[in-house]
Amino acid sequence: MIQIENLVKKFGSIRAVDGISFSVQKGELFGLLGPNGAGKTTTINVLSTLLPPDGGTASIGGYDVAGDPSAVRRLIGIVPQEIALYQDLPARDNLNFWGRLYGMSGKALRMRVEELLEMADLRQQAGQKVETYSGGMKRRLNLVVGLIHAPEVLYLDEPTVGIDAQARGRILELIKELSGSGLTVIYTTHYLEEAEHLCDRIGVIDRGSMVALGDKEELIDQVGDQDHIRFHLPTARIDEFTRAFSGRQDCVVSGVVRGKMELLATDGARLLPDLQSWMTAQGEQLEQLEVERPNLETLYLNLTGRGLRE
Amino acid sequence: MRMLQVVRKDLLRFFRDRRALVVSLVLPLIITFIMGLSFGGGVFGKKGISAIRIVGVTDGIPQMLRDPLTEGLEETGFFSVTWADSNTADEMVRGGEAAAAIVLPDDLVERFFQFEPIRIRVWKDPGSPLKAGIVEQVIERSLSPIQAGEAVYAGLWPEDIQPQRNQEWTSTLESYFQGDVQSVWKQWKQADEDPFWDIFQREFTRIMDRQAALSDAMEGPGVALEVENKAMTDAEGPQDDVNLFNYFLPTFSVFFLMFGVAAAARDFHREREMGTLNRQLLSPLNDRDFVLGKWMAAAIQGSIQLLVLFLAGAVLFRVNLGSDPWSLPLAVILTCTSAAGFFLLITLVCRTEKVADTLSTITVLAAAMLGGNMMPVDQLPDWVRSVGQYFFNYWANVSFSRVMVSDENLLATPQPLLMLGGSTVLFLVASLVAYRIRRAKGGVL
Amino acid sequence: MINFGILRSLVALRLLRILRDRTSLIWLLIMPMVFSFLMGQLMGDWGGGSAGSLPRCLVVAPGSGAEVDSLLAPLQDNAKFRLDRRDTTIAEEVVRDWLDRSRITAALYIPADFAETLGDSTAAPLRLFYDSDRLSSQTVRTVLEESILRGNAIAAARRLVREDESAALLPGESRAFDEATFERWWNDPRVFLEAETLGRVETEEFALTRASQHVGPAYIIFFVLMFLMMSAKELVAERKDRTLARLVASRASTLDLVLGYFLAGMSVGLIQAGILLVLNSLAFGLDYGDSVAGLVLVVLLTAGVASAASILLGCVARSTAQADGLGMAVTMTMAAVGGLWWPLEIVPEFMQTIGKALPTGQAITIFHDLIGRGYGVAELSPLLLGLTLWFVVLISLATWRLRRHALG
Repeated sequence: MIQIENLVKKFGSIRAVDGISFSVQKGELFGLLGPNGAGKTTTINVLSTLLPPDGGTASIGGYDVAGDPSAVRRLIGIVPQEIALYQDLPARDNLNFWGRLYGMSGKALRMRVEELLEMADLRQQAGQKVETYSGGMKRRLNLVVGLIHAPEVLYLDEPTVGIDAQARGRILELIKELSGSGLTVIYTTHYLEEAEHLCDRIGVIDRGSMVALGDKEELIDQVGDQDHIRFHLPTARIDEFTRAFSGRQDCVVSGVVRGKMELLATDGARLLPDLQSWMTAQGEQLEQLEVERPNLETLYLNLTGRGLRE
Repeated sequence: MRMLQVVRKDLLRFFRDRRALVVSLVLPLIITFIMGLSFGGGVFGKKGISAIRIVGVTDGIPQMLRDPLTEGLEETGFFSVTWADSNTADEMVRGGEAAAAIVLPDDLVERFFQFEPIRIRVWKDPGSPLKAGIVEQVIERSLSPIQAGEAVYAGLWPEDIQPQRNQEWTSTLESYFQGDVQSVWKQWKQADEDPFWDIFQREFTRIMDRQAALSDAMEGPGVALEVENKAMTDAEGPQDDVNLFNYFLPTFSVFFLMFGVAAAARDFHREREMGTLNRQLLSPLNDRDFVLGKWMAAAIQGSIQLLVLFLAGAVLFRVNLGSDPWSLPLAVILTCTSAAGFFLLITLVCRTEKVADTLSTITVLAAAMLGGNMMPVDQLPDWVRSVGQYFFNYWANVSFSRVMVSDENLLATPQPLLMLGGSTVLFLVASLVAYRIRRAKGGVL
Repeated sequence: MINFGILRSLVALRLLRILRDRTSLIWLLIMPMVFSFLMGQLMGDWGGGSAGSLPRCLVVAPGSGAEVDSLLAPLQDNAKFRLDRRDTTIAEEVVRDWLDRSRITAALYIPADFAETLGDSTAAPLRLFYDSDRLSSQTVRTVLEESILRGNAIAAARRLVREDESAALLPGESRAFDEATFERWWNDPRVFLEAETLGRVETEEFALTRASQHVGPAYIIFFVLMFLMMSAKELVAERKDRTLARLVASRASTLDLVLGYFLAGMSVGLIQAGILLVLNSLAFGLDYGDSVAGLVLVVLLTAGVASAASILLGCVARSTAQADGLGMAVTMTMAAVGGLWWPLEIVPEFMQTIGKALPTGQAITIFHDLIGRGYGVAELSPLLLGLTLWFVVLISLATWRLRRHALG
């Protein structure tokens, strides 16, 4: 459904998107993961024909975004990061306006508006001005406005920014339902847990480049399946500890990471008693212990050397 | 038409935006009301214009002269006259209680008959230069025929106007004018043998004959002047059917229209910041529809504003809306389409709403000053008028002035309408080009 | 007790925010200066000041001769217009259009047979197209009427002294008309008008009726009020984003807040007024009268009233948009009714009474009285008291509103 080859977008001397390539199958929910400023929104803007690409190709449903933008726009819907709604109008007037803009009218429009209000759980408040809504309600309306013309592809650009956990849960449910109905979705976020929870495949983007691409398991495999064990160790004991544990088959001593001693263990739970015994024998307490299972955060950290929300 | 959806949505938002309603309708209505009370035909047609207060100085002025002077001044409709001694008059003028004082010499009658110079003084209130100026002008004009008559008389009969000619009969005439008519008459009747009365009668009769002949001669065939005045007011004095508000209402309405339409045009930036512009760009709405939609919405808002103000003016202050059914609507529509095009163009070339806000406000004030919204076009200096003609509001003011002041049919002399129509097309094309350039550079995101 | 440390910080913060904003600098200084200058230029014609090149008075005179020259002689050298004499006929429609488009200030048609038919009762009249709303046009009419009056007076005299006694209007009086005496009397009439403006003009050498003497102070008052009323939205924003609450949660009392906001506003108003006063004085040669104390008091009170009104608006408005709308409405209304846009002298008396009850009307009247009448503090005291009363009422209401509602 979506084919992107070596896509480039520059702003002056800055390469906001620097040779990205990926494809998304019909009905797939594809996550575009990366910190703020990584190039996610620029990618979405190019894919939605708002910005012309400076290099490479991108096609949606077989139509080139630069060559046939009108055909592309008919296929896509967008849910922008900001609440792109007329806050001084009620939800129903907003939906009516966008529907009419897509050439809808009469009964078909009325039914579609009611359907979407229902979907967003806003029927009761449909006559109130959007500015009176809570953050979650605005986000839900923002989402369904993008669906008014029943697009085949939906771009969701950080649709859960700035709302509480409960409201976020409802939006994620809605997205899951949509994906289940055969809609192709590109979902950008910097919330790892959302990507892990929702997406079939994930692309990790950093400084305009795609640093990893695959399904969740494949990506996690890239960091291996070892548990990360970190704890506080006095500097004087480091050499002693390295000598004691570096010969073992079930773990590797990584060294000092973020101020703590780190071990990569095939089974962290089985290693911990040995670690505890060694520390006691040395007259030390096992303090500030962290055991981390491999996840996307670990992957991201490994790939970029920084956290997603830094 | 997708363009109409943009128009419909923008109008819906306009009517729900309290600030826009205050700036576009409520505030202009308040100012209109104040202007109407200040310059108009008064609320529901009751006149509100006050007469200019003049104080005449009584010192030595006989009642017989005071009355016709009062009557003459008050007849013009400009003035109300009171009389006081010189000290009181001085205080009244200095304190602003009267716009001017007319000070005639104490020995006016004596000087008049002794043919000595007569200096009429006007004391003007420093706080009312405009009113005091009118007093001065009116007196100056009323003195002209007297001065001309005297000059002719002097050229014909110089012996009659020699000072100190005949003390005795001068003082007799003086007592006559002081109001002592009866005693002068009695003396005249009873003084058959008195040679003075013979001389008096002969001289008096001669002078009066000469004056009458001169007066007839002055009224005889001479160079006549036919005047055609294009102004809304007549310099001869206020007339019942003249309503200054006919002029001021449209000029102030156009002033407020510019603010309202500029604010409406700036909605482009608000949509850009809200993200709704992006959404529209992704819809099947094309560039032309979007620009036309924004322009038309702003023009309709402006038209509503002008119509409300004009109707309020007509109902409350008897403002003339013209007798031709097409002239005013056409002037309103073309003024608004031109204004909308102009401010949309300004909006599109500005990077942010704040810049657009500042630039459009500066432009409104400059256009208002140069195009005749701050003061009548005709009062402007030449260089301002030449510059002003390049602003659409100049032509709007001319159109409204022709319809509402002169009651002309604009279709008969369509130049102002053509200028407004032409500028509309120009601004629209320029707006579309500006939008496309901006979009190509990614400046709409 | 007032905490001077907090007070100083509040004032400094607000001043910094205003002065760092380029847009506010435009409204603070640049626009008032441009406005005062342009309005002074525009209104120059009202007060008799020079205003650009002279307007044109068109004379269409196909005929010629001494009579025409004599008629036009007084119009030749006039400071208000220049004469453009044509000997070909121009259609009246064209002339009307030129007058409409202000290409000319007036047009005079002199018939081709003017000289031949002079004194003839069948003579065609002169035709003047003019516009009494224009000063230069009015002057054309006045000067022309004077010239016609003079010509007609001479013609009348000549009719009185015809050789043919039977045709004379006054038989037995036939004699010579002494034109030299006539000219002497015409140029130096016995009955003449002498106008003088009372007040400071009696002793000071300047033209009191110059428009800048109204425009200068009027726009100082207007822009001080407008700028401060427009900045009321910042207080609303501080209420909304809870920075105000944060200030209260620190050590600032309501009194500190009101005083802080008030002094900041007042400082801005004083800076603005001060600069504009100096500029008006330098650019227009504006004279503010002899009472320095009166001038200082009116400027202080104007800035004080505007600052207090701004705080009150900031406490009353429910949103920044509402503060903007209300601020604009109040400013424009106060300016219009108070006589800042046009002098109060030209409106009906009841409107003058209302105008002078408003702080704008009181302030501009004080300026007029300072400049024109040369009043001092004693004579100005009723108006100064009026302004003080406005200030007390507004600042009390603002304090009450801030304490009761604004923090909630």
